Amino acid sequence: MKTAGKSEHAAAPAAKKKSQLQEVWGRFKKNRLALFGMVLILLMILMVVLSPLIAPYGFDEQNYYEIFASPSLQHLCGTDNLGRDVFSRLLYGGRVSLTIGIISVGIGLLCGGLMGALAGYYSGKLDNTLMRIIDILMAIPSVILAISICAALGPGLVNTMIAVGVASIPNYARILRSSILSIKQQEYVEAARAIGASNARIISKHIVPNSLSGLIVQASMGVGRAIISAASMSFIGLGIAPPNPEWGAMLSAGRTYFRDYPHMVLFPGIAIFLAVLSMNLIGDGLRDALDPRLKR
Amino acid sequence: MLIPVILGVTLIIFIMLALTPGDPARQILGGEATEEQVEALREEMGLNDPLPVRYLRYIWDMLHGDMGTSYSSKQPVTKELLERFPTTLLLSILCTVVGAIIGIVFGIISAVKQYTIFDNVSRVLALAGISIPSFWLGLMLIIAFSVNLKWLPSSGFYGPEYWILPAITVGLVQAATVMRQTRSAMLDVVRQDYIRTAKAKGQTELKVVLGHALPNALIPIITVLGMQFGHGLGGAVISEQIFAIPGIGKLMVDSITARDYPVVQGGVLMIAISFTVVNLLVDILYAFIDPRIKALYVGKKAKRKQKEDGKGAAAA
Amino acid sequence: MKKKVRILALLLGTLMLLSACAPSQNQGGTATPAPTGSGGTPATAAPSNPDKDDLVVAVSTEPSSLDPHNVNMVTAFMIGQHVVDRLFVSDAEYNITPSLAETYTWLDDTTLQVKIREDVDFSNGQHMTADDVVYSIQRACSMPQSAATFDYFDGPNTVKVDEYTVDIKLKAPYPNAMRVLAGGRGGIVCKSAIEEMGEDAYGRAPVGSGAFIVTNWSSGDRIELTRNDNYWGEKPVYKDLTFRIITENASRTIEIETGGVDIAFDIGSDDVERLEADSNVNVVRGASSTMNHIVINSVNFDTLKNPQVRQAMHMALDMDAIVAVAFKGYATVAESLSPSSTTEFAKVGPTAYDPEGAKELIAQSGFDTSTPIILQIYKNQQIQAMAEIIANMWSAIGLNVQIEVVDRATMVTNNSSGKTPMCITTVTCSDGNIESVFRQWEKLETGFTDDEALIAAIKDAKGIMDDAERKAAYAELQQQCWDLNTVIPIATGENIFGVRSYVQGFVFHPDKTPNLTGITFG
Repeated sequence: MKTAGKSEHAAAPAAKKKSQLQEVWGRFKKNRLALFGMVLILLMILMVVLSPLIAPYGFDEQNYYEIFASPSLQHLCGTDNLGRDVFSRLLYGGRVSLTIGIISVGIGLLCGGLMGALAGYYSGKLDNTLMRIIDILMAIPSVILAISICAALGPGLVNTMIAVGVASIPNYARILRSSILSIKQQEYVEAARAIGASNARIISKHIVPNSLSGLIVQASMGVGRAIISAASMSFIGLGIAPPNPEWGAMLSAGRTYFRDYPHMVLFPGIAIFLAVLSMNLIGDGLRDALDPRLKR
Repeated sequence: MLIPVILGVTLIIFIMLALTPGDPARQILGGEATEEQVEALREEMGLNDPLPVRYLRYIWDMLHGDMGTSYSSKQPVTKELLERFPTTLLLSILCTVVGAIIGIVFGIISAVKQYTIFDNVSRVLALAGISIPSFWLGLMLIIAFSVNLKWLPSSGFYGPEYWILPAITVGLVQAATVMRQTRSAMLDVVRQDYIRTAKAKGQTELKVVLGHALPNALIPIITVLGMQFGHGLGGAVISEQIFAIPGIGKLMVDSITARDYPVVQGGVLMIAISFTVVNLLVDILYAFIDPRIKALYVGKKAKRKQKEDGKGAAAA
Repeated sequence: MKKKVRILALLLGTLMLLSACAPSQNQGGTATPAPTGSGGTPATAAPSNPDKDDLVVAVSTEPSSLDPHNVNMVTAFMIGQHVVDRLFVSDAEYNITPSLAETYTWLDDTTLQVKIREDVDFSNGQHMTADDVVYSIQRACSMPQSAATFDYFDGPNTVKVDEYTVDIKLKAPYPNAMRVLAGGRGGIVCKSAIEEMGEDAYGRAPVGSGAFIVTNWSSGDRIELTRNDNYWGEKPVYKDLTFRIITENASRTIEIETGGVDIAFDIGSDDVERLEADSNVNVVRGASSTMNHIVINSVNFDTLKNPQVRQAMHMALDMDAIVAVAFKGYATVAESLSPSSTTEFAKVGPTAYDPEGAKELIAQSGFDTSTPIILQIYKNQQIQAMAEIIANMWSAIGLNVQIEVVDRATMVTNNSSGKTPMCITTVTCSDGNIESVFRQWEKLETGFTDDEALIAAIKDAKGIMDDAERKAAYAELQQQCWDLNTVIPIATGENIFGVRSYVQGFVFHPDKTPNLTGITFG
């Protein structure tokens, strides 16, 4: 009896959740542009994951007799200054760039989200302290913050992710804090508190789910921003170690040759552009789908 | 508000620089100098003192208006920064102007002509705009306008013809954000009753849009522009690099690589202050734009006055 | 909605087109070997401009100071020579002629008596006397950034004989003494000006007796010099000399092409062909005095102790391919530890490319090939290209190489304290002086050798007065050090200058310090 009741109890919100998700998905898939972005990014992820199978050459396969080859059937995107196949490097480089994009957003979300949630929920002293820290981080431009973190930690994949992630903390913290502040005023939260729900329960059951939508939208666009930030860092010479390819590093390497061999900057640029664009399209679509009132 | 931010910013940068490998003294003297010479210079520069001592000394000097001397150029940091600041300020203004004009115009038209081809095209353009890495755009613009067409110079910052490419590079990306913000803010306003009323009263569309809708949609637009301008004062790091513009951003990157600690500290501090000041100005601007916010301040005063009057009355 | 996708595609297409219409000559470029020496065709369709009164020069780095004793950057010495004159000058072949010195005599092996010109005023109006010369030499001996170069000079005992005569003393016989005086750190500074202005301000606007005076220095942007109308020597024909600091290679090339500057330093090897095809620009290039090499700390790092392994690493490198790809052919394969521009250069290499032999050596040595070998570099396009090729060639003989990119500052610090296992770096032998190559060997920290006899021989070689004897000693040292393989010299790149065709009288200099005083416009 007891167990049945419990499972019944558990099943109801699950069903509700599913229907909510379905509803969102239904709205999302009506947005052709967002769908296009989703297909694009999934395709890119697939290609990048399968790069050892797809890539016609190794990412460090140098051929000194075929440097700076123009795009052809043999080399879809041409070759670079060491005769490496640019297309293959783009595929392998995508692994790095997309990983940086996703993980650094994860870092930013986790730290920023936690700070924002705490600040928003427990107003008062804690809020004040946390927001001062956020103010301080905000006052340092994110590029310079990321550069100095990278200089302090040394270049490398993990350090780049940390640098880009930390630099994005204020963004997420502020968004979550302000949405929590507004949700806290809502009647259902007051009602929950009135019936004696614990703080943890209120946060996890009411506040987090309702403030997530803004965060999800920001995160999906944040992946794009993080990819660009990481590429910028590579561009000024901080980033991952060669010969591992990364889109920003490829672009940076190509800028010396961009006049004679534009393919060296064109293709990495397009790769970055497409990845960021698709994340932005998804973000836009998600915002409309998650909050129909905003749909326009 | 400003003081804790300044203290925090200096502390963070101080700790970060302390963690950074690469000895400034060695950097100054080069690989051929002996260990003893480097050690002597470290001592002279005060680098051997414990971190808290150095931090307190820095704060103490700063309170006396002394931001230190650059390790590499041996110039006072204040002078070094003030030399670069006008360039960055100008670039930042230009970019914000470009961003504002393009962004607001397109945003308004898009909102007014919602779901038309114009709207669709400019929305896609805006999405593309926020997806393009600005350094890539800069390189492409140099190829097109400096190298192929030979219309504009590719580097330096000496006059209006030099300003165009960097301003467009950064401005276009900013315009995309401004356009999106303008469009959504305008759409919010356009649906309001008073707009319908104004329209019903037979005012021209232009008058309705510029006279009634735009002023009411300005707050979010100003917020975005203010943020962009504030960040711009920190230097368009990458664009300055590409276009060889002697601004703050380039100075910061060069100083970090050269381990020129006083310049890095002073620079970040100045950026933080100007960012905070811009935010403050934006807040003040709100009051000018939105009578309700003005009323809020005035209202507070009035209330307080009422209270005092009330007190006075009660006392009487 | 489909429309939007189409619009997007259109947009992308336009951008691609825009950038793809760059003139792309030389596709699939295989590098062509380049002869050394100055090249470039004379002007044909140059806009001649005899009224031109200024010279604008693009340089790639900004000097931190122009004080000759307080800086260690080639760009600083190049610009500084126009402002602060020296006792002697040396030309592109390192022939030394008197400048501020009128006559000189060696009184003995350690005393150089110099009689200076009596008609020289500093740019602040002060008359130059023996006091300034004594002060300058004593200062050079004591300032940290010049002391190493002035190691053999005996500052305290250098004395004024009369108002215009100085006895310059050496601690020990030193054949390179006059070269040092003619080099970048040999500037004669104005004593009273430094005492008045202070060292730091002096570095921004040095008072010297040169052909130009620094009038403005906008940091990060440009240094402006103007003609010294009281110059004692032959005055330049033009009035303003401006150095613009443009760090991006591509930007410097575009500036010289479009005529934004008259002379551009450090043209990238990728732009040479284009500039050579441009009738408005002459390319002046030739072997530099800089050696690119791999340095290995064999003393501090156990994995690099085995000489067989180091020899295998050297044999595994196809230097011709590195020169062709990383330098696009604008370099010469190293034949010794020093560039061939040094006076004591002796051909001892190159080591033959033999990957099979290298593999055998590795097998013989019993080296565990899974041990990670770390190759440190700092961020620089050319060095990164070299590193990637080298890592590839070492992987081909089975080694496990990892490239590590660090800041230049970090590398210099680690390297001088012996914390870098292996890195690619450069050494510049200014003034044809081979000592820079061996100075690193004297320091135990760098870990090139811990053989005390070798270090002693290196120290002794500097003081051998007889030219032939010294040359023989250095030849022996070059062979000995080459065989140790703790330094693997790669190649000497070219110095490449872009010069507008109406500029006349530009003389190539291997040290990248051409004197621009004699430039005229045709």
